[in-house]
Amino acid sequence: MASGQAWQRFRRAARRFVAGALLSYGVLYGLSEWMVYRFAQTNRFFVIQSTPPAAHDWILLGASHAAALGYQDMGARLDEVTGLRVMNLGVAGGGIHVSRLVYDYFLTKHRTRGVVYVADAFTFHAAAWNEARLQDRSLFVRTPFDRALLVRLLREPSTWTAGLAYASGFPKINNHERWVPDVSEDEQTRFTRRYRPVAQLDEQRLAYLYPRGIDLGARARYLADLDALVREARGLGQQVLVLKPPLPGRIAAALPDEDGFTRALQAVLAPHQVPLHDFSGDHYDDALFYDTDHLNREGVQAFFERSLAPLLRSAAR
Amino acid sequence: MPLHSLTFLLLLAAGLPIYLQVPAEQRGRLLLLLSLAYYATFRWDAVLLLLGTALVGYVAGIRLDQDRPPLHRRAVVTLAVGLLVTGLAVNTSAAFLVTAANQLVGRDVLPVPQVVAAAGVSFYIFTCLSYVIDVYRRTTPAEHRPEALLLYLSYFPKVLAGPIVRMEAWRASLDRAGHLSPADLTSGAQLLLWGLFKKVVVADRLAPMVDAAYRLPALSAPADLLLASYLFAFQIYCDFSAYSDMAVGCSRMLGLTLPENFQRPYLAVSVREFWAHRWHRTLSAWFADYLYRPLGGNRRGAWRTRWNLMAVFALSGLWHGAHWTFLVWGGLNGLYVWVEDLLGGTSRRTVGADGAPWVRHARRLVTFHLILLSWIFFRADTVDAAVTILTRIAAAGASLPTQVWLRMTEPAWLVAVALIGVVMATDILDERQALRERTHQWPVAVQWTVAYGLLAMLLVAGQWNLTRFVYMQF
Repeated sequence: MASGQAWQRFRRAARRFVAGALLSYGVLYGLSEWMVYRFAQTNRFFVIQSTPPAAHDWILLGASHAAALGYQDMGARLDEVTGLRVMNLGVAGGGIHVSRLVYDYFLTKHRTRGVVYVADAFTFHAAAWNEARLQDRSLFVRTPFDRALLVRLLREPSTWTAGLAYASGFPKINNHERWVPDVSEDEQTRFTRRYRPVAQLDEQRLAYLYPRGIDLGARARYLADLDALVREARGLGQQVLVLKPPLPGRIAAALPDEDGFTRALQAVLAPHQVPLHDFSGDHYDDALFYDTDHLNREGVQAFFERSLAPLLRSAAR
Repeated sequence: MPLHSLTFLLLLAAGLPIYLQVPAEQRGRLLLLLSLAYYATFRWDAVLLLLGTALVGYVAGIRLDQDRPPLHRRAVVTLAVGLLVTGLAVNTSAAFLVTAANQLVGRDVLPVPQVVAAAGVSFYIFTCLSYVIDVYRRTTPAEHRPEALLLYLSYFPKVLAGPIVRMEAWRASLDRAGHLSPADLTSGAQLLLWGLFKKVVVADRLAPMVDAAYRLPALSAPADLLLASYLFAFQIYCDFSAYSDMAVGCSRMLGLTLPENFQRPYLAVSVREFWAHRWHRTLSAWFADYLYRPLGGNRRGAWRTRWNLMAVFALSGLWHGAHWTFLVWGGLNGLYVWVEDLLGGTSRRTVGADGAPWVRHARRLVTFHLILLSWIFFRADTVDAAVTILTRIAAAGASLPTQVWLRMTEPAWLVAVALIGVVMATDILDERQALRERTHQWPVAVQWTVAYGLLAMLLVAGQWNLTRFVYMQF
């Protein structure tokens, strides 16, 4: 009897303790959400959510080569030279799966007349830049809670666990870089540098970008996902431009099966009558890159003036 | 799925109410199933080694239990011990032994095998060895139910990193398992929470700082090497004692009692006390019972005693894996105890109870630094690397204090020092009066506030990238 009463008391106390723990979690959740609004800056989901709903002329999707086109004041500069309203939604290390998520979320808040997809071949060859990248909690540490994004994440099996993590708010509560500015180190410190090529670093970079080498099965799958994105955009009446970013000649030459990828990409785009603008063969000096393959400030400006701005202007007409 | 993974903790929280509904006599079977499934989550093929170990233990136990001539029993125990030790050596030391053999003959006679040791293999093989030897000595009856022996070896909270439980204690614990009380659940949860804090908030925060300095010692600043050496002393303590706390806490919640493996080790007043009473106590007791005493212990004169001690420490070094760094680490600790004995004994009783406070504190400081010196060899990749670390620190000269001070003003180091301070303050309080008794006297509101504080620290500052427990590799 006494034991029964002890268990009853224990259950009551346990319920109260759990309720207190949940309440504490709620407080931490609220605080971390406040921190996101206080410190978030470049997180793409934050940018989409915090920008007043508007009609944009173009959005830029893709991985780090797209993201670098918006570093520092380059986004404003692109708007200025084109006279158009362009929103950069590139995510470092983000393949087509990440781009698709960002694009879908963008459409819940804004409209755009066109989509520019910066196609990096490496992102079409490994899950590390797609499914696995979506599981990377760093993607959501500065993302404010939004029901629309949660619904989108829970809709697809590949983003289901990311959705649960996002809903729990744990990545934000446990963000160890909560006091660090929401600007990548590349953007903060390297973007203005000039790179001097080192053969060993080139090799390391390629090994990093292609962790599983050339995977034709993965390529076909991810190109099909790009095909779906292009179809969706065209269905919404948006213009689509796909481009390959400028690369140093030695890197472009060292990329594995780049010709094969270009042909496969063209084959996907052709039925949609979307041309591929390949700038990877353009001759950009090594001094226009801040590392092995990313344009620096000077390089981005040169790219805007030589190629991107005229392309966007003419396509917008 | 280590004990500090969110998946494990959620499964524990969800499974506990179900476990409590299972009749006490069925809980053993359930625990066995859970234990095997748990171990398979690390490497399913390693389960075969675990089953093989249990089979050797089971067959040997049955044979040893029968009324056979002493010669026959000795042959059985020798064979069983030989098989188990061989299994352990192949798993943890094959590459080292083959490399050493190749070096000895001067050419690559044998290819160096690439064996990845099964998680926790040293722990469950030592557990099995203790069982076989105890049955041989007739200090425990043989286990006739194979599933019971398998559970004894594979029980999931302890399979990866101990504590090493003796069969008698295990049986007694199982007998009491049906009498689980709310107090067991509460104190088990408290210990689990404290262990989690030490692992996820403290040890895993210190680990990358140590790794960064120790990766290339020749290129690291002397101040970083010095500070990293201090940090490692606390990293390994928090990491290993966290596992033990979590294993003991989790078991308590399941109604089982495991022995506590740590007792505020850095408050030891001598190296002998550190090893005999405070650090990895179940392994020390194992070596004392199954190696030191059979070798003659301290009954065969002073020099033989010292020789036996040195053998025990050298072998306890090799228990971590056949590597020169572990051997030097073990040898160094053996040497410390040897020197302590030569200096006239510094047992816990004489110094701990009767010594003046300042003498005790001074001895604590000396003991801690002697242990810290040995940890440098334990942590370094090679003996050469450890020597490089020591020479670089020694060669830094008068500028070292300034360099250290500058480092200490960096936020990451400040946080590390503060966390170590919390752990040590807890140990000091616990040394004066058992913390468990102390906390029971606190009002519930205070107890809960502390628990919520720890939970908040886990959420806000925990490193949840699931770094393995250091001792899981042994």
